[in-house]
Amino acid sequence: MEIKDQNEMNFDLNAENIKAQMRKGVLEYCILSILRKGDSYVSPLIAELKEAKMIVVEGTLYPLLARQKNQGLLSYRWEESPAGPPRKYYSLTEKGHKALEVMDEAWGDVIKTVDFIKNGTTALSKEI
Amino acid sequence: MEETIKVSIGGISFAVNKDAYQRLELYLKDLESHYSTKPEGKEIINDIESRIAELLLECHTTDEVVSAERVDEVIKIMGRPADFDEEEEGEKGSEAKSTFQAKPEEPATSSDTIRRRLFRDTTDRVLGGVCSGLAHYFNISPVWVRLFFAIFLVFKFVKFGFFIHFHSFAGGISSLMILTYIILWIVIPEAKTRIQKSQMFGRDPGVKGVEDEYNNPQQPHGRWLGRLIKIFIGLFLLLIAFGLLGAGWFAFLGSNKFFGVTPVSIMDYLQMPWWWGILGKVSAVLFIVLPILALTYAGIWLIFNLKRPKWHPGLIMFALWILSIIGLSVFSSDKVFNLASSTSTFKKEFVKPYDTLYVEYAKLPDTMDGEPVKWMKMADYLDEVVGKNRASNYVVDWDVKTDDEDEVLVNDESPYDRDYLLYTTEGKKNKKYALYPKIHVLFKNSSSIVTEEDSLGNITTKIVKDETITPDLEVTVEKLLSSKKFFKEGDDEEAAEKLVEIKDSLIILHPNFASKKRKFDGALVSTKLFLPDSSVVIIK
Repeated sequence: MEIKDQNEMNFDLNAENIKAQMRKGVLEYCILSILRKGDSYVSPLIAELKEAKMIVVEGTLYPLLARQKNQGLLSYRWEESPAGPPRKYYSLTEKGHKALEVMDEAWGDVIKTVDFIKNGTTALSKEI
Repeated sequence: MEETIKVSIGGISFAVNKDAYQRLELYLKDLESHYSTKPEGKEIINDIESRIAELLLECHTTDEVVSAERVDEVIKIMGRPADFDEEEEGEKGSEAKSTFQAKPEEPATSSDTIRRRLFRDTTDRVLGGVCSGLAHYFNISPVWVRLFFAIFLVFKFVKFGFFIHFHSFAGGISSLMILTYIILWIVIPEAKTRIQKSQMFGRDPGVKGVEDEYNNPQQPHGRWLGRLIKIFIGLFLLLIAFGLLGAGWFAFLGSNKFFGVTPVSIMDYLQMPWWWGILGKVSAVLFIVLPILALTYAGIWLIFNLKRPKWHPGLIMFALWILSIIGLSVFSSDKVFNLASSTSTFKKEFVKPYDTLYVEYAKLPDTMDGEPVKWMKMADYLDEVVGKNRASNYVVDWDVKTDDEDEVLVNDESPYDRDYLLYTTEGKKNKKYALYPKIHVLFKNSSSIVTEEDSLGNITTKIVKDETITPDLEVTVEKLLSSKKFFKEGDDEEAAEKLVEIKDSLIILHPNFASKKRKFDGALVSTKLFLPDSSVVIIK
């Protein structure tokens, strides 16, 4: 009994971990995709992600942004805001654009694969 | 009333109550302990902090003090570090510290803790918004400041015929004011953001400030004593700067004249490589101008409590000033201005020993450099035209003996001098100079009394004339700017040939010219005439 419980707990933790991992990967993809539409500072970014139910707490975003910036996918500049403190405007770097292209492709592949496995049909027809 | 605490979050000040303060502090400590070990930790914390500030500003309506509930809400929106847990990395980064600062204070009653700062108000401007900015700073109506500047403009463009000295004084002051305005325009930053605009009026940039703006549009600012001392020191520095400006003006551009030209433009009359002249002029101008600029800058900086710019203007000016000193010392080093090192002497022969010699100054030309010119003696020019403004001590050495005799009969044993004879053209512009060689007459004793005793014991005394002593002319050429770089060795002999001519018993002294087109080659020619004491010299 005890052993089983332990296993169940382990499984639960792993599931949480998988979910978090999945969401984190997708979240990075989402951030880059939003920035592709135009440079932005944190507030509209958060608003859009919240609307899409991608994030629950805002704090999630900052470590990710910092990391993407360190990876050279993003760059930022300071701009004065009409109200409040100056804002960091994030924009995609060339590397970021390339990474996004790779992600687009990978995302398409993932959808196709998952679709095929779950429904037994190819997503090719949909794609065209 | 509950205790409020002033805090700065993301660079913006908020008044929070005690509970809210404790919660904020805990939350930020939590963040700090979570992220301080990561390399990008500080940045993340700063970003989160500014977002908190933004969120607080968003819903921060009329109630001034941030409540604990509001802080809780914000923390909920942001999430706890545990909620957005990333994989832990053991990497040690720079120790991140939150900029969150707390300074417990008395409940804020008025906004006079916000420091007023000087900006240009470009929303209310005639030229650069300098006047309105100054007015906001001193909390007066812009009209007064504008009037102040406008009065000086009037001095510049309206002539006061009734009092000429006042006019030139006022004109100088108004030029100074125009210069001051331009410097202020450059130095004072423009109020661009809302925060800067609030600071210009000494208002809280937050909602409270907007409220204050409604209630009380004009406010005094605090910390007067320190500011007052700074303003005094600043004014003092400005005063010194203006004094220096006056002195510099006087010495380099103004009325202090040597030979009727200003010291700087003397370089235009000297033969030297162009780059040498540039070196001299640039160094001289920088040497005078830089301290004035530096003092003016420091004065303005102190008076208006400006921010220290990143590009270290003081350091740059100091370095340039040192360079100008080096430039000046190279320019005036004794390799260049050394008379003694290049003196050459030439002997000139007379065809036969004449009893009477004539010295004549060659006639000055009616035209020079293609312009008609009228010549006058330098001494007369200085007396009449330049008057008392000349640097008299220096000029005296060069003055001409003002004896009016056309002929001077010299048959005296004592040596007779005719100094360099300097002529100049009438008028103040495009001056030209003519410098005649110096002449110095020395008599040699050519007779001697000889006592002889013959075989009979008779003693006879005879005056014997020494026929071997003949007139002899020695021409000495000294060179100003004598550096071997600039002049060839042959130049001296050429000058001696050209300027001192012998025609039978006549010695003709030719002038050496100097004008902006025909530069002075630096040759100073002096002649020494050795004569037997029986001969006669007539100088025309």
